[in-house]
Amino acid sequence: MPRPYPEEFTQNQRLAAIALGRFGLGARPGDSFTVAGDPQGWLLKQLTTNADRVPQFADLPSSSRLLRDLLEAKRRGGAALRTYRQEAGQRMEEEAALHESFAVRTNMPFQERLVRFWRNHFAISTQDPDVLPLVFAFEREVIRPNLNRRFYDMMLAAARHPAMLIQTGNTRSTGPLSPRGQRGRSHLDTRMAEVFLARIAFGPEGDFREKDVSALARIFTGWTIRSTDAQNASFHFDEDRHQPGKKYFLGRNYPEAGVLEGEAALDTLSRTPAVAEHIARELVRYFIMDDPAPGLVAELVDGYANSGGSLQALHHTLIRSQNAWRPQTLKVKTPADLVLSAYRASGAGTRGGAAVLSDLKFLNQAPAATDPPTGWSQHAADWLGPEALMNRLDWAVGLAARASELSGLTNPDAAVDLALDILGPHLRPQTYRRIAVARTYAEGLALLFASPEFQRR
Amino acid sequence: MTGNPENSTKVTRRGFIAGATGAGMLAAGAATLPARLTLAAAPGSKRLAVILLRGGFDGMTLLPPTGDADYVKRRGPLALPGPESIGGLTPIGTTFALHPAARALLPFWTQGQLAFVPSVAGPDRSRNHQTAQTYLESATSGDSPRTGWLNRALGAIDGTATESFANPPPLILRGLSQGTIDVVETETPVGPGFYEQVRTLYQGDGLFAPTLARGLRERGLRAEALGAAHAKHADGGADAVASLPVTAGRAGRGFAASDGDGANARIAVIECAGWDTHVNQGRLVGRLPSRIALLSEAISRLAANSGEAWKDTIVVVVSEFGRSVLPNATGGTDHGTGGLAILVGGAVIGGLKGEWPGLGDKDLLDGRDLRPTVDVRGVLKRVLQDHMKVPRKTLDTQVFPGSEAIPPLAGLVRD
Repeated sequence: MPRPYPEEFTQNQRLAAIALGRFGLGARPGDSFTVAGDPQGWLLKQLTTNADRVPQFADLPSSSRLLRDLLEAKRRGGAALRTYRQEAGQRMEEEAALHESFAVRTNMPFQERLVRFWRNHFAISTQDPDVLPLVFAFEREVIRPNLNRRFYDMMLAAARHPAMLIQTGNTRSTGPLSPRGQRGRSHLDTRMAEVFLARIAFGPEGDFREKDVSALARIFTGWTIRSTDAQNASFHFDEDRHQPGKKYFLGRNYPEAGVLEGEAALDTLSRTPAVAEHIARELVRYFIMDDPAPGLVAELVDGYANSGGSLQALHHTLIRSQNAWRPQTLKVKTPADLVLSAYRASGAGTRGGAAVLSDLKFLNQAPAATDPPTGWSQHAADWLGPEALMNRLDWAVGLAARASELSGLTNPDAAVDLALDILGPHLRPQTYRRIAVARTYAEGLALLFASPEFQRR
Repeated sequence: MTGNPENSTKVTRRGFIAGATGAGMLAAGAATLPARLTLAAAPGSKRLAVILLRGGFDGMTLLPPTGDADYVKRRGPLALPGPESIGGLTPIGTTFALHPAARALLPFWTQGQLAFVPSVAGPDRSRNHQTAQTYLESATSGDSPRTGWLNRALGAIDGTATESFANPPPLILRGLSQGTIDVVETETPVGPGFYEQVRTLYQGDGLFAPTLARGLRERGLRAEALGAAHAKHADGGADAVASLPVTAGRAGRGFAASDGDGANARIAVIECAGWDTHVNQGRLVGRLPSRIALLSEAISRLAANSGEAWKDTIVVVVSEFGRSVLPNATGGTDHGTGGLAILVGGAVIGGLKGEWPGLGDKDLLDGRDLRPTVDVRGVLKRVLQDHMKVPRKTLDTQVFPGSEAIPPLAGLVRD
């Protein structure tokens, strides 16, 4: 006999279900018991832990090493470049698998989701073959170390990272009046400025003008990459490409200051109220609701501004807000989060993450495979069409079969117990009853994965 | 059987008669039809698995001829980037490349255990699922053949086993004479009413209920637009493919079980629907690449689980026909003629087998299909003759009647 449906749930059980599902990557068996002691504290603790000390990633190569190999292969061209591309694609898959397998196992799922939110915010994508080798190095070097620091720190690290510089073509951007430009090699590329203004800082509808884009592009001229020695290549400020003279950006004059102009411009952005509002709104959209409630966004903006632009404070305010803990589950899980939560719930084997990757491709959300520079949409309407839902159901059946095979469980009662453990108060009585009359454990599990309460958070 | 005894049922003849009702319900009410495994016994130590991809498999996505000068022009929007470009394809000889979704097959290629025959077909040219599937399993023309070639071949091995009692067994294994084959069927992961149950769970949900209704309708409409018979034979629902790795893994365990356990599964037939890709089949990612990844995973699981028996194993992957070389207007491909056959196993001599017909104006069949260069019976004959030791004369006259003129394809089987 399965556990009966509880007559009532405690307040802490309710909060634990929200902490695990809405803010985390979904419960693993037993998690709800552990977290129910102090759901909010469990989340807050993850905000004070460093995100960049992941032992599983310790041996992965740095971007300066990867960049050196890329530049070398491009220099040699021909067959050497082809071989490099093959190997880079393979390595990227392996790194992606490692990151997914880590996400299935992590004890700090809230921190992991924040990492994923910010990685997606900067929208570094595998679509560009020259960026592909660097995508996960970007996460490790830009996002993880700066997760608890200021937004300015993260933006600066991003703007100096080879993945960003290559993806936006800024490595070749040259001011018309720069020494190189004067020699007739002028090439002003505005893409990095557009990404920073239209996606990272303000959003596409933001309060900035075309001339701000072009000013920021001039400020960013000379931000490029260079081989430093035989093994390494990294950020380099190239005076030869940098546009001299003062620049007028967002209503303010920036005197000529070389690389410091860009740092000052990013500092200004991080202190601009409309920018705070944009990142607060995107964060609420990611965790809570597709159409962010203005009150909750305002709370986050205050938390961010009062701390001098700290991301840790921004994240902290979200967890502290009553409005983020409302019982209604308004977000549909993205394909990626759905897959991760099902692996965490069922203990299905990930084959070192390869099985997770293959499932993500099945549901059309391979890691970082977006069209740059937009990143994955956080609107359910963009990825829950009829065909996508049918694919979710097909996937649910396949994963349920694999999980059942691995566990050796056949009795549907075990699926009922698991559903109660994983979803707790979110499990509706009608879903409980459906799973209870399933033919097999696999069928019960497939119904759990398909249920609206598992698909939402 | 060893492995997962609680998940599979060893069925006696009596058991099959009793069990037949349930299976009938599955066949009739199936909105979904999971991948199905039938295991059968045979003497000797050689193992043979046949994976039937129902619906017409577009082999040109798994093994695109990116080195063919006409490839990009013919495939248009479905053309894949060659191994020299980004996209992750691996060169296979100078003409072909392996789709990145099939990466799990690469180790077999490297070890010389994987053979591709890029354009095979039987004599049937109907481009009709039912007719072509019937031919592929029975190897006889005629309206309703009652026996399958694999059954006739098994009967020929040493005169034992020739009747199977699956409910109903796949035609390929069906026979007339008496015998003692044990047939094991796997438990299907979900029952036939799965979508109906999910629909109940979604009742009253403003987002999931209408989206599911539209999803079901779109799949239904797609089938209806192509004819109800078409849907029944081709579109078993994609979960058929989703459960393929598990099903193939069980076949591998069946092969691994030693005779000491009282098991001697030597033959596995896996039927898997969901390959009829008329609409949005996808290029590097999407519907078809996802399914190719699952097929590749299935093969590697079968290999891993069969253990020591792998060296005595041949897996044959075939479909009732290939698909049109030219894409259609809905991002897919239509029923074609020549198609890809895959042979993999410790007893396979790897490599590219048979000629590539080319994609030039004069090369295509009827201006749209891949021209077959190898008769599928030539492939099967070689496997049955060298691997399962069926006499050539029996193959020519009983297993594939009237096929004296079709020689077994050379260089496929290790001795």
